[in-house]
Amino acid sequence: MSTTKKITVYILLLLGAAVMVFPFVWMLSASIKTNIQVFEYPIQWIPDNPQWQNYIEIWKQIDFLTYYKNTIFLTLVVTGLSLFTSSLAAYAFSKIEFPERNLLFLLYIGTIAVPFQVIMIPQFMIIRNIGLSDSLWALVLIQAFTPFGVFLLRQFFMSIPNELSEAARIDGLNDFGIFTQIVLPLAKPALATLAIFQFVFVWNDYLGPLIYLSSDSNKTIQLGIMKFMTQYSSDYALIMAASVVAVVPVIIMFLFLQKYFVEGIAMSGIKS
Amino acid sequence: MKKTFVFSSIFLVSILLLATLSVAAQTTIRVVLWDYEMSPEYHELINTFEEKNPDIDVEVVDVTSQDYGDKLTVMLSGGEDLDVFAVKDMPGYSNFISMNHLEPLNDYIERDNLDTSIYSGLMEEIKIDGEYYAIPFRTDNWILFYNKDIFDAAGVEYPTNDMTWPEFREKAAAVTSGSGSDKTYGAFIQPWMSLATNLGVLKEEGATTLANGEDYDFLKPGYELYLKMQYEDESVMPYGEATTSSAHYRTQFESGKVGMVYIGTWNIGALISDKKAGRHDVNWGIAKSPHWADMEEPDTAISIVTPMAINSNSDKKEEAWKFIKFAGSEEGAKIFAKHGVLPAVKTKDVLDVYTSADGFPENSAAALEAKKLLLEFPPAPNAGVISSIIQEEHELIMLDEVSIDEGIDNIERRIDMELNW
Amino acid sequence: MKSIKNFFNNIFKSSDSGAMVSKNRKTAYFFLLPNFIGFFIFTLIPVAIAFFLCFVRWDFSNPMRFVGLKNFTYMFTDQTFLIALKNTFFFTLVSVPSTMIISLGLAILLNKIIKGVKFLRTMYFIPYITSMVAVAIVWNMLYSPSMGPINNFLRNMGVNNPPGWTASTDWSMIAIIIMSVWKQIGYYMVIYLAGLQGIPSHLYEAATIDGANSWQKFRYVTLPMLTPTTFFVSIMLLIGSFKVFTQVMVMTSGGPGRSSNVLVYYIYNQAFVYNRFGYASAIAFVLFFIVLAITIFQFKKEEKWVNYT
Repeated sequence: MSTTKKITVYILLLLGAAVMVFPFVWMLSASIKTNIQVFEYPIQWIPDNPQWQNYIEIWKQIDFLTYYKNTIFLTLVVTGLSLFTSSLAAYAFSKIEFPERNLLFLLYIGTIAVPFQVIMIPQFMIIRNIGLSDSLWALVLIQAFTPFGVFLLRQFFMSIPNELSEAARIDGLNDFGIFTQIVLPLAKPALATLAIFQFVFVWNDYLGPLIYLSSDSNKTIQLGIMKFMTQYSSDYALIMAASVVAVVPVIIMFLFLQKYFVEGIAMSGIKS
Repeated sequence: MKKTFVFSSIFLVSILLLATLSVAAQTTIRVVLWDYEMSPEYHELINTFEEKNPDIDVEVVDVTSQDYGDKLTVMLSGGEDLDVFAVKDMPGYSNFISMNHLEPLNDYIERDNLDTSIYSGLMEEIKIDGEYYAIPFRTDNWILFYNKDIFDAAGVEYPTNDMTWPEFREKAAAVTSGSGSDKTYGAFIQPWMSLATNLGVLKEEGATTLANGEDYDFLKPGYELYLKMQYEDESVMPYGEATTSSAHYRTQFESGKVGMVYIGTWNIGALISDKKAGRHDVNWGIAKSPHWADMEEPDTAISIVTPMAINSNSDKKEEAWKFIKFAGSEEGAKIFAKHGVLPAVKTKDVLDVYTSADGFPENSAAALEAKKLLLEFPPAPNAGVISSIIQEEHELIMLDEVSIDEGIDNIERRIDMELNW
Repeated sequence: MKSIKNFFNNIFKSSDSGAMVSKNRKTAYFFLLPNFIGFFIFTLIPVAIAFFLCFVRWDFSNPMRFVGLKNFTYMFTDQTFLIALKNTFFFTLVSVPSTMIISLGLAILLNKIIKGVKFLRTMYFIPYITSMVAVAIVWNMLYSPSMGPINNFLRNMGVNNPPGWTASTDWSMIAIIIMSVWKQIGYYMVIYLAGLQGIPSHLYEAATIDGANSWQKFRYVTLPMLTPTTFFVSIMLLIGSFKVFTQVMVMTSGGPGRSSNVLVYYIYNQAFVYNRFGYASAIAFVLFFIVLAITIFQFKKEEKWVNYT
């Protein structure tokens, strides 16, 4: 690719990245201001007396550490379970033929369209009847069996040629063997994508924890951040600081998974 | 040897017995509150209550203010184990009663001979169909806060305890100065609908309330005033500006750039503690709420009642009753007053505690009193529906997107449709 | 019965290469079971209950009243419902194509470079992973009509009366769309990247040998090979945009007035402010059927334009 072309590409991408990141930069800037300074115009990007202690305040004013631990636990468990059960189900929907397959799959896809608000109360009553209200496990049960994961993985598995699995079957592998040794390794990009999606969703989920978690010891980060908005005022500087702290692990997770699915694609031997 | 052994084992066993007995004899009640963490008055109230009632243990369920209504609805409807909850607003209160979540209290009150007159008639205001459902523990009146330095700088006299709304507008215009980001506004209007509806409610003096469901023309004078202040005098921040920059009366006033704020007495405690914490250094004063010139009783203020109620599904109602009684008692009131929260019981003793708090503006006790109190929004069925519709049209009127008449027309039309559902 | 079976078979015909890997029902259920149990109890049953609730009036506590189709007949005279419906369709019509085009464009650009890829990818992903509450506060501030940076910029560019954005009934929906597209393109860019990187390079080499230029390569290699990804992206975007909620709740509360009220926000409102749980369910199922119809339509066309290898 010619140098001018390359430079144009870089410029475009950097401009785009600036637009993407601009609000986040504002967040960073606001996080070290006093509450009164946050919304002052014109925007002062680097405040005169940065309130670095805001980053310590957030851990002191609310039980941020507990919320952090809870959120990590919830996110990892839901993501793990989701990957596990969705990939199994997706294999069935893409590589095994059985009479009810299409109907069941349509059922799965259909429910994706039903908004959470509708099934919220019936779900809550079911959870309550099994005695799990005010528990992180309630959220695990509700979110780990997402039809979305099944859909995403099924699409990807469909594009893995059947010749590969046929060959493996001839070599003596049963379905489970094909699943673990052929399909899963090839599906790393899709698995990583699903993992990213689930991770981000659970990490940032607000409505779910709001409904199911009451005791302070069970709450998650998103609920914690809202504690800075009391009835009589809102401490936006602290809200921004807490939001920044909340986003850091996700960035780390993304950096980690990025590498993984790039490698996965490089290793995939389909294209030959 | 043997003696010591026997003695110490008896001692040990008795300790264990006592421990288990006291634990076994303890009942735990779960109390739902909002902003518990940031409210030292609740901490002290609960500690004092537990000391006086060693057999009762209080567990707090803390919900953020924003989500309180939704979360409480979910918890109550889902049958979660709750015994007591604070009631945040009248529409919520009415909703919960129509859903049978509140334990009726007439029997308890009669049995214990509770004197409801100490609440200055407010407990009667929140009766529904002749039944009491909650005990008030705090009230707030809407008053005027002003920044003395701004008035001094502009050479304008401070707001008095006997001002009309047009005079309020004049003063705001008189102390407005500057432009752009250096502008000092004469007043700040919090984007809530109550800012405007309160003015209408005041004018009606109780003849009608926001819950009437049919006629809302009485809202017109308030809107006219605010629109003129926004767009003619430019003495207040325009509504669109305020909402998008998440402007809030507390930070606005504390920034020292706003001359007056019409808001509730809850702001007093906040201003005091913020000043102590060094978050502002505004020289502030308070005055009674302005009134309309043609009112029969000009010394009227808008009031909000915050009561506590018992969950009708609770299985510890006696203990719950003890708690809400304590919260609404004179002793409980003094605890609230100490922390800058205006309680429901306003005896002289209680008010003395309140006004003698360090940082309370001098000679301002009069601003807290009013001969007549009107509820911002009375309990009524469909209160949630009505206030939601008014809030939506309120936005459009304040943004000058629809004329006041059209806005009020829409309110009346839409409420009519919803009530006939 | 047979024609319905054919209909489904046509929609879901998986590949052209004939024989399936296995026709074992028992194996299938073994694979399906872990996910299906959870799905059944925590999704399917609640959906069924919610469906039943469409035909009642219930406020969570007082006894339910069966009202037949009354909720549905009321809906079509309900002005707020119609406003929410219109806004939701508008949101979908604008946000879905723009997200797809921009994220595909970004993915292609990003795929062309090697140095700094990780850094840039992460930058683009940051909006997606930041909490909606924080994002909404920031964008509201950016949108501030007289003082915000966006309008300041527009005024400097010579625009005399810049839009009122979230403080205006005309622009509130557009303001929400812009913010939503901004927030999600990082995610869909990542999906398209995965798809792009799955295209065998030998196809491009062959095209170069045949003398194809960039545009032709894009049109005849990239786009066709991307169709499974595009299919997935379009379905998820369509469904997701019909369910738009959090940003409306946090940024505008459906306002000013009702100008940014959308279906799911209206459902939430009817359930929790108006306590009309039956009616809320009915609206939700109308939403569901709209989305289902669109999805089935998409699946039907899947065969015509999606190539699986």
